[in-house]
Amino acid sequence: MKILSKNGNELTLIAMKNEVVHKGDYLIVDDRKFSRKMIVQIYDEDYLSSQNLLEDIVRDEVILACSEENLHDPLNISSLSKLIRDARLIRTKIRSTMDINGRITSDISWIPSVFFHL
Amino acid sequence: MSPLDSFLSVGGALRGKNVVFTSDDKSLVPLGRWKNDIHAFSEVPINPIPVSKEPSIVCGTDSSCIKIAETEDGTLYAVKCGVVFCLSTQVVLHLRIGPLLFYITESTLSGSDLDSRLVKVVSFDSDIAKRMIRINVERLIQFELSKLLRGSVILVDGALKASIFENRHYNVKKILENCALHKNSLLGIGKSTKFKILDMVSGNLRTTNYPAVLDVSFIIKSLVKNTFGYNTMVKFANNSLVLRADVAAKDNEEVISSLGKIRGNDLLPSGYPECLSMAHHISCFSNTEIFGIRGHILNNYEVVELPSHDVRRHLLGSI
Repeated sequence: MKILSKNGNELTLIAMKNEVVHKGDYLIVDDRKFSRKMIVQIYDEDYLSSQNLLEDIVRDEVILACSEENLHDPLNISSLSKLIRDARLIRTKIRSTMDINGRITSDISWIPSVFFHL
Repeated sequence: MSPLDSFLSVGGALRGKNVVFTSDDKSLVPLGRWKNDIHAFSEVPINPIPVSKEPSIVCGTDSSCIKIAETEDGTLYAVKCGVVFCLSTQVVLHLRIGPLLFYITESTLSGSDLDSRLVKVVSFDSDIAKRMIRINVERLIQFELSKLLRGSVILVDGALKASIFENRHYNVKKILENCALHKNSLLGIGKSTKFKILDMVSGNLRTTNYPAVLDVSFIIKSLVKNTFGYNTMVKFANNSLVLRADVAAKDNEEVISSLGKIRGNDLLPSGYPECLSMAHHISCFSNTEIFGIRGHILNNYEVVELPSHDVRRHLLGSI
């Protein structure tokens, strides 16, 4: 997972299909460089919903509905495309943070590295 | 008087003319006809196209090519192709081929049949390189189709003409030979033409209210070298647009018969063959595919992605 954005006390993450999480789950965002952690709770999941992605999906579905498909994709690019289409937005609320000494605090004025560890 | 003066005196020459305002990337034709359609050609016969009741496969091919990345000494392109088969006014099968990657450098081109000057042009000009890739991939597919199919119609997007980029093993001539052997028909269908005279000549065809064809070989052959077959303007549906069609045939009856097979077996929404339209959509790159290709390159070829910036945006600003 990666952090996409932070807005107030909300953090939006992006997850791929194999990263299974559920609404209500707590996640620890571990910023190892500064030895700080952020505890967030998932409250919603969503698909990536850009206009381009939507157009791609609709076009492919229309073509597939018209006739049988025979695919020749030696580089297996289509599986990577499907991975992108299956990506999800995970919306979370920041519940608290842990400081360098492991103490729970309510200080959410900092933002963790986008490349955090879970 | 400067050499540009005659062009700059717009007012006199333009006054009273009919105008269609154009857009760079769009091909626009007037609704109805130009005021002064060429009546000198009004005696060229317009032949109706009867629907063929014989079930025949009609297949359309199309491709698209995009530039994916540049390296110190070359350019990486991706190509996608679509092949769509129609029979008895139904789309029965489609093939999605690619994306396939082509890495073009002077050294990768040196093993090809291309002339050494063409190698230079292709390696430096990405538009020409894309064209070369598309022509070769499309011709190879059409060559295979012409061997496999029997009594079918193979549709090509655009004019039916030889290209300097063709490979001698599967060029248009070879495809036509296969078509003759296996009783297939080869047609090139263009949505528009760059020859304005054809718009004028086809005025009468536009106003007919039945599917018909007009032979314009006498104009095309005088303007373009290396074209094949009968050069025609064709209208597939009662109130549809007029298309350019090059039909490889031995006589006029065979031209009408091939066009009749398209009417009888392909869907023709808006008067354009559905198999070509669908092949176009299949061959277009989606945004997720482009990201997928980048991911594939980064994961498999040990390349190092360098940071880059948009030169135009940097120099001209974002507006």
